[in-house]
Amino acid sequence: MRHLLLKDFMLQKRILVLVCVYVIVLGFLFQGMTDGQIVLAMSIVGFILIIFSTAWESKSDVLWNSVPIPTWKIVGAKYLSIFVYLAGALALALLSSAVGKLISSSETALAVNFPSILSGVLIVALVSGVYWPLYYALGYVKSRYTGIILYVGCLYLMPSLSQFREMHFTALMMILSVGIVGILVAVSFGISLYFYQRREF
Amino acid sequence: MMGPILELRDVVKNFTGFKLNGISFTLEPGYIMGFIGANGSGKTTTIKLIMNLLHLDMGEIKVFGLDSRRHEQEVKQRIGFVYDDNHFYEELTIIQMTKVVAPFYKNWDWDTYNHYVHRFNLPEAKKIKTFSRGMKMKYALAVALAHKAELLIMDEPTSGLDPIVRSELLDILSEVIQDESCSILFSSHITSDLDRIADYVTLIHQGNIVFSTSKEELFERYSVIKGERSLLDSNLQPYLVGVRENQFGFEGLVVDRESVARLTGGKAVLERPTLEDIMLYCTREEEV
Repeated sequence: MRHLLLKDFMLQKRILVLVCVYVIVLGFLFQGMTDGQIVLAMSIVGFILIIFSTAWESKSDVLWNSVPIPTWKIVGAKYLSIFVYLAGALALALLSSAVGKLISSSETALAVNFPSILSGVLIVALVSGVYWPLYYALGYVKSRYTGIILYVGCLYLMPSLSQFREMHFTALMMILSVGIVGILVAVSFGISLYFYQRREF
Repeated sequence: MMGPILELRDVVKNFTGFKLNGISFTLEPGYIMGFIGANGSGKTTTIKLIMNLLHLDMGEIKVFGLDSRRHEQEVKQRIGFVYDDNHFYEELTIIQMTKVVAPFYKNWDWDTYNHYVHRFNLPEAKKIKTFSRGMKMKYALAVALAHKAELLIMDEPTSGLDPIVRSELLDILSEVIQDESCSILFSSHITSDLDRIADYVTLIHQGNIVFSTSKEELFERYSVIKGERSLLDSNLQPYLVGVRENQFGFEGLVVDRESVARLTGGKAVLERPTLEDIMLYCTREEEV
């Protein structure tokens, strides 16, 4: 599966560079950002990576289904890649934020905290959990617009989610959220696999 | 004794407006089978079914004696494929692409791969999108040969290639087949390529197999006949596979050369056909 991740990485090199620049700039700005903005920034990164990771795949299904590789690995690599990139982006954001803080000698506490990181990851997991089954059922071209609508819907709901999180984000709530999103992603993976195995190329 | 490398039994696939109608044929180890037919006759559908890119409606496909569905991964380890279109990532260089694909094959041999890359003069640092059609096909062939495939499946590999590249490809395939450990299913509507390299020929027409036999048997079975229209009488009809009339006479395809020669009393010219002649007349049977 790591070779499929490597392939995504090589194909998305330019996008990843842009995302890195975006993340570094945000890292410097994190001190002044609210939790909600951080979550928003993370979900934008996640969404860009989801959409671009499928942009090169329109003709490659024939290739991957001719090579000796189980279908679950093809589908699984797509799910995994987003979180790998997100972890990378997050590490970069934390690093640049820390550097920014050192340079500016700001007294402001680093706004990046565990709940905001977790919220960002959960939102990206949710968006990808809904998007991937659509992608595997409809293919890249048809699912692209659905994905954009989906994401715009998420952005619209973001303030309410943020408000909810601020009010109810206890340790128990965090564990519950992770559990529920984890189950949703697992179900989503099963549905994606079901669709992909039934597709013809 | 080793069984067929590829065996299709009563394979059915339904589409709207097209049906692969219970086709059957076999390919023995160490041979090249030309898979011929007009565009839309079912060649690519058959190949996609063998590769499990399409789902079977009915029938059975065995590769290396194994069910191609139940033993999909094992079968694909031993198959090399070259399709008519490029399915590699255009944005990657071939070295990047190969680094992604190679680890999936247990028998991948970098020496063999490098041998073919250098032989084909493929620029390793250039993106695949800058390659000509011929170069893309050669790259696909290098990948197919690098993992010691025992069965090469080639779907219209020569279409759109210039005669020099086509000839080069055919030479390589002839070399590959020399050690008899590899078999090739070569689909094409350019029958002159198969005249040169095929041992067996399978003709598909409108989703049905017209024949699947050795090339030599075909050339023994069929002859091209040319003569005056007056020869086209009811006595000749049983031997005619297909016929085309013109203002000077007729030309057609017949079976049983000796009987036809006796019947026409030397008034007709009987010639060895090409695969194109056989394909054309066999698929125009209804016009007889």
